[in-house]
Amino acid sequence: MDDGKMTDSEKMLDIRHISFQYDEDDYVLFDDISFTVGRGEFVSLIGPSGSGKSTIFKLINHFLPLRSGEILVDGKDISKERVECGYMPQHDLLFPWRTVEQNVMLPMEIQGVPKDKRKEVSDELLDRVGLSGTQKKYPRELSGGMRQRAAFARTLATGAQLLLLDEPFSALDSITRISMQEWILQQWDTLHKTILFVTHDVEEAIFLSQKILVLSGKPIHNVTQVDVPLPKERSREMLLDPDILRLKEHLVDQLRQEAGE
Amino acid sequence: MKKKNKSKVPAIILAAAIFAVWEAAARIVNVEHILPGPIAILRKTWELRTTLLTHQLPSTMITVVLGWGLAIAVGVLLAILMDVSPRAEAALYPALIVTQTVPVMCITPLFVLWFGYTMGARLLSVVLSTFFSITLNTFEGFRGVDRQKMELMQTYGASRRQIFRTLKMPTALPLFMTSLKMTFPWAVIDAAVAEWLGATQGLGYFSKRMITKMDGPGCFAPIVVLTAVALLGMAVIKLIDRKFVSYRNEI
Repeated sequence: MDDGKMTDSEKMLDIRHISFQYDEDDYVLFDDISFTVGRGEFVSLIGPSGSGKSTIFKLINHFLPLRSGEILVDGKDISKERVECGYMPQHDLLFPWRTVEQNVMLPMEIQGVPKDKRKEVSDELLDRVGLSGTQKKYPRELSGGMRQRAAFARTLATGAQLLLLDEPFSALDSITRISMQEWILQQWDTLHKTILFVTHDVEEAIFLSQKILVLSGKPIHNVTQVDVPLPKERSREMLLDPDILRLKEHLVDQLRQEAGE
Repeated sequence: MKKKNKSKVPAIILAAAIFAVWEAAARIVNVEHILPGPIAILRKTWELRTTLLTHQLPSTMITVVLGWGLAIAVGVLLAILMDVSPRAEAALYPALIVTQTVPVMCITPLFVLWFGYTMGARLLSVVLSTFFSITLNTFEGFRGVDRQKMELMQTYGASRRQIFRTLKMPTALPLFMTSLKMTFPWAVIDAAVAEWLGATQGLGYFSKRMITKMDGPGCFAPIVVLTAVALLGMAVIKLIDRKFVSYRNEI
């Protein structure tokens, strides 16, 4: 299933033979793993909890040093030059002392974007995520779903082409989570960005992504790629299709095996 | 009569009771220079209002404001230094903890010995008794920064200075404000004590002079003013705190 024919310019993220071990651990976490995410794709990364899904993001953000291998974002080696990635953590991490608008402007402030431009972009982004009118509100005045949307707008404000979303909906109640999943799909459809989405929820991964990457092995040395046979335009009912249910079962089984259950 | 919300009634009743007992005791003892009653003290305060408020208070307030201001500057600078340099932290932290235990009031006479009846001696006393609390609280505030928020800032490519300004300072602000609330009354008390020991003017000095004159109410009158100043200062700090640090519980 691997589309190894992807040319270099089509790859937004290229993980090449990376190995990694935490200094404080006595075991290797990743042993020579490779995978790619194509430009404009929505790819989910799943694995049992504790499998180091979030560590991948830390490596891509260059918070941690690789043992070996390379990570290329948009063709640039992250160990050699600074690469913009839009990182969205599990908890919204909105700064409570800043208004919604000031939170969204934060990445641009860091980048030194002029003030009036910041305001213009943040208005645009808040409008896009359906939060216009909340500019002057504080995060505490927003609901959980609204806060995540504000955090998403802030992620977009980085201007990065590659978005790294780290279980962004896992802290939400199930109804809000479902509507946020539908919402993020619409966003992706119109944004033309590449999204790498980490989750432990198989159904979420199937509903959202075109490709699912499964981390396996101990140490993790295998990344299996599974294509999701769903059209770009999807609805929740499609999840009840027998093929999709089989795929879900298959993935759940695989994760349980990995977790050693 | 029951009230659900926090009522001030019990506090008022208790205070009234204490003052009533005090007043009654004063009348029974009936030796004013040894046990002046609250009414006599208030009357005396009113009589002395001109000298207390226009002559003694300004002198004390200069010591309080300058000393406390200096303590804030020193305190914050040391906190920043400790935050920036682990070596400075290793050296300063234990020293600060020890400083905290030194009863500065008791060594104030030494400062008077060194500097004489000068502003310097009094300022030193106020600074020494308040700065460490500001340093420790502010430093704790810097240390309380959420690791994940730090990492988020790093993904934006923020420099250390940008992280300091946009993340660390706002995170430390609530604890800094707490230290201001704690230290302001100390600054007032210590300024008064320093005047007791080494001044020719000010509320503390005035109180001491009244004692030598065997004037009980006169000794208490400046203390009424000092208490009012401390309460007023704390109220102002609280107001500022409520306006700017309403996010205290969300960090």
